[in-house]
Amino acid sequence: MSIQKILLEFEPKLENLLRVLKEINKQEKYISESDCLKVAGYFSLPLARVFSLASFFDLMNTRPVKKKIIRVCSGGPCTMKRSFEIIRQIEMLLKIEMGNDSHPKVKLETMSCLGLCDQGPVMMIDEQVFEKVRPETVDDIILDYL
Amino acid sequence: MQIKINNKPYNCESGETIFSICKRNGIRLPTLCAHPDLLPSEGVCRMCLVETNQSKGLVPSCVQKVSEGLEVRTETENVNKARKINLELLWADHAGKCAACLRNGRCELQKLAKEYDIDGFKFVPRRKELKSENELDLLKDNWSHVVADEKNPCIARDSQYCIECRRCVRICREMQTVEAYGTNYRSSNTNVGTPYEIPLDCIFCGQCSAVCPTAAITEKDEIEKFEKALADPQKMVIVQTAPSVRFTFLEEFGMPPGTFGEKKLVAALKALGANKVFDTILGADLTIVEEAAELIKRVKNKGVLPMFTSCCPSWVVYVEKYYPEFIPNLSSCKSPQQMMGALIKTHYAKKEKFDPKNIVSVSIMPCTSKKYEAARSEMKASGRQDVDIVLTIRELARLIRKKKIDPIKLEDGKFDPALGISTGAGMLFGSSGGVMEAALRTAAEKITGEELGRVDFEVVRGEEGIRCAEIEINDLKLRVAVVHEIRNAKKMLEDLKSGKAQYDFVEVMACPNGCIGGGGQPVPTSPEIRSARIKGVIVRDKGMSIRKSHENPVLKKIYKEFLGKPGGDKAEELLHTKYTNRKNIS
Repeated sequence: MSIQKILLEFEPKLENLLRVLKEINKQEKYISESDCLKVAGYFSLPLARVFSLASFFDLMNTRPVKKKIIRVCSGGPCTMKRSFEIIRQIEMLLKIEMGNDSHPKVKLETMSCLGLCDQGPVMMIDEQVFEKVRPETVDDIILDYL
Repeated sequence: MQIKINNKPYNCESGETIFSICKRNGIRLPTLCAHPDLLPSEGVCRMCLVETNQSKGLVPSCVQKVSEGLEVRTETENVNKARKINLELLWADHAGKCAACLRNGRCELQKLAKEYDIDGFKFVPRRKELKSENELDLLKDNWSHVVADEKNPCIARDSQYCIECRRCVRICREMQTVEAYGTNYRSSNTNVGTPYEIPLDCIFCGQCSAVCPTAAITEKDEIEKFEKALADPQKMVIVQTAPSVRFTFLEEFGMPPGTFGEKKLVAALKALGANKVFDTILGADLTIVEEAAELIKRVKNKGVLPMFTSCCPSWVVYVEKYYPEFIPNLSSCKSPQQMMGALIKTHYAKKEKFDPKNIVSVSIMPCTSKKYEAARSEMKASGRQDVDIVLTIRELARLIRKKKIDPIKLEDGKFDPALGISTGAGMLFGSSGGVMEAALRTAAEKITGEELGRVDFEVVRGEEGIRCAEIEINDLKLRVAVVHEIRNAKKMLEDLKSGKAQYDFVEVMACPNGCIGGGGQPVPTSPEIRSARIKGVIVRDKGMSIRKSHENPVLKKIYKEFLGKPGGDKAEELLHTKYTNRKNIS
């Protein structure tokens, strides 16, 4: 579906802005500069305001995604349930570093709360969410999924 | 209502913040994000923390409203400790390269760091102080979001100096409605910058560089070019100085705002080695004569009305980028700087038998946008760029300090008389409403053909965003408006579009209070400082012997010898310009 079609589904009201951006992110996998300009034009907003909203959310990309992204929650409750141990485990397994972009296929990132605090620690591989991850089980999840 | 600050009672009204009461009563509170042009404050920097009897923790005084029975303490041990830690955190995120920094000595962060003795790097260790490998990441992390923007013709950005105070974001959004900046990403990755890291796409007004507490946003530095021209014996360096900079120049050297510093400015320029120093006021007078002629022509021939002034390049770019349908309304006259530039490289060069190739035309401006204007492709009346180098007053002061010249101790200088006689009308260009008043003085005489007795048009003076007046000259009624700041200009344009307002002649300046509050003027700036500067301008106009533009003897001579009559062919060729639709089509 083209961006025009997405835009036509929503009225140009401020409360629809986030929904439009989410829809574009879902379809195109990321929000490109030209898309952002079109959204800004449609809502009569400056480009800077649309971009700062889009870049605020971890689950929206403002750059093209070419790798699998593994995200681990860094929210308070998940950290209390030792999500950093999971991060360390993934780093050891895949020999990558948190936030580092040098691996050709995978990137490890932290993300903010998904609202699944009771199910923590939470991690995501691309769109797939994994709950109650343990350092012992994370190896299997990753090897299965990649 | 009464509250207690440091055990002393003070009167206040409900709804006021602690910070504003302290400021009014001369109690100093450190701040890096609050700015008198940006109210209400946001409480970002956490430097103005105070202790109160009504809350357990410390509160930021710039957002905390007063309430009955409030007792505030501004300098306790707790407060100072918290401020120091917060300042250290900001300092850790900052480049800290003070010696080579453009704002060295004028940086608000540096001043506070000095005051609070910030010398340690507790949060980001330096290389020799590293204790473990993990700390290396801290060092790296600190530099992961550095963006340097050199592509904007007027404004240079370097985010390693940025402390994310959001002043630039707010002034661009609230005062100028352009919103070129945004606060991007989140938490520790937050950075203030442009979307997709494109070069800053704006109207070049430079207000962001005037409010920036550090050197993250500065004017584009062209000192080197100027020094090179001065050092070249082949080149003839001709400098012109804008009407408003003579009232702000001495602020850079410690004098109070509004001090008239024309003579010291000229002396300092001569001491730097400029061959000739001319006065842009002559250009302003030319602008007025041409603009008045154009206005009369438009009114008589039922041309496109209202006519907008075109002296402010930021306003011109704003119309071109956001309201291209109003381009025919812009006066086709060039700005004083460009008229002067065109005259120097044509008339003056011919008269004095210089090759225009060897002239380096430099202008000293209160404005960052003039750099862009000088580089516009239309501004080539002499066949090459009319004005080669544009320096803001901050750059000039920096150069003067670098050369160890103290302008206050210099003997008074004088403009070179060839193009250096000024009038009161031209002097008024420095403040908002000045162009209008100067134009009315000339237009009224041209229409009636009689000498004007009283020359002060007080109705167009003042500090409101939009000032309207109706002026009767014989049986001709002129509806005029004076607008400053783009937010007011936008409102004016929308009113014109919807038919809510009707004007014949509108003056617009993009910066608060006109050029006197320009983006290249000395920092800091505030409404009080600007009104002191305006006072200086008005006093000076009163004291001038020639107060009307068309009575300038040099100008009369130039028209007689060179240009013909106002609005004539030669004038049209040299002093008028065209505009282009620059709207972003998406």
